[in-house]
Amino acid sequence: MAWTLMDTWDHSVSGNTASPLAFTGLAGAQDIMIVVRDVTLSVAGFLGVQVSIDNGANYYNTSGDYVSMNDAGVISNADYFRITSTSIATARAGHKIIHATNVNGIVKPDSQSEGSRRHQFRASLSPIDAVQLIASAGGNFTGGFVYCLGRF
Amino acid sequence: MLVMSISNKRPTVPPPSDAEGDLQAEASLIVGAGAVISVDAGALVVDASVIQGAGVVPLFAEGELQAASSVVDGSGQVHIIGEGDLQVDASLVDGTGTYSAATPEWQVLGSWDHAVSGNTASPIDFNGLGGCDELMVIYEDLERSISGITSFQLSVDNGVSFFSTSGNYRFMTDNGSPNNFTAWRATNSNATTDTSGMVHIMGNTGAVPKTARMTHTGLYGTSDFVGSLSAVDAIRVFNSGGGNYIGGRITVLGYK
Repeated sequence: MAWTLMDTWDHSVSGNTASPLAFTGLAGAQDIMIVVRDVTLSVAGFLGVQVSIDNGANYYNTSGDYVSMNDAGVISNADYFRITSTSIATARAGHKIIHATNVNGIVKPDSQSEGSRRHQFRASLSPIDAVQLIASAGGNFTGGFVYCLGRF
Repeated sequence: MLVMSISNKRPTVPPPSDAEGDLQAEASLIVGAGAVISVDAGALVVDASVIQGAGVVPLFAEGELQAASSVVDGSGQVHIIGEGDLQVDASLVDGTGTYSAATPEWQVLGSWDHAVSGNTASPIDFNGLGGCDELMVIYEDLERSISGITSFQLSVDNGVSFFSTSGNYRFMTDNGSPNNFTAWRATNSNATTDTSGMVHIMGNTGAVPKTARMTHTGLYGTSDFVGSLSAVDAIRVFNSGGGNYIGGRITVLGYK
């Protein structure tokens, strides 16, 4: 089915906004995609995504909730799905797709624009119904756009 | 003949029916002689010509009947034209005569779990994957009894045979130069230790080469399958070194 734009954050509308940016109401989405366009930060950090299974009441943010895989398939614990590979404050763009988010009983894999590690969300096998974009070092989002899409 | 389209959402309450293409509603749902069923943008007026002798009218779940704009007037009324029963495409009707248009979704079509099956000889085949627009294999912490690379081969005859000739599978460099292989690999660990990853096959139902995205971020991350342009309906997961799978889990999903 079609990708549907579920929510947008636009710095020119919202101004500086503290990390994280939450996107809820995603229940039923087969896949979820976050697109970041020229996002700048007040504090250098990585861009990443954390997920929720209770529509944003709680987000998984503990090391080991997610794993990253290198090219050999060897895992390392992570506390979010990473989008960008450099800890930096200047404008960055990219996307993250979390797959099969509505399937119960499986880990959720990702794919993304960045050419480094892929991930799996393992802390819960339940459907994902909310995500949040994080700046790994906190601070504010100070520019750019963020789009959240669901595939229904 | 009615001119309308039906949204492909699943009805919350599948309507009863006695035959394919001849949906019927319970008497309790019939209003007066003409029958009115509420929809989002007004009332659906059913022409008397489509009411059967017993007062039966087509039934849809609330909000899930959509009419082409050409048959909706300014007041939101849907005008049914033609005569006879509402005709439902056979593909939307299941064996019991129930309307069952399905929204494509990810479904678990196969799995192997060492905790359930114990040590299992390589290869592990997953058949019955026909009709999927996309396919995905997720593997977690796979251990092998003999060093080897976790690999994948495809079938278009439901697992009777798997393509295994060099050039059936290709990996592309950044400049698009193909490299021939006898199988896909999503990760590149030639070992026995835990390996995790994912293969995502896209465009499966079209008569096109099948492209896939892998966990590997280098050469083995961009691939295609050109052994056949037919839809893939089975996937073989195997260890290039043979032996047994002695730990981990494999899940196969289909989007259909």
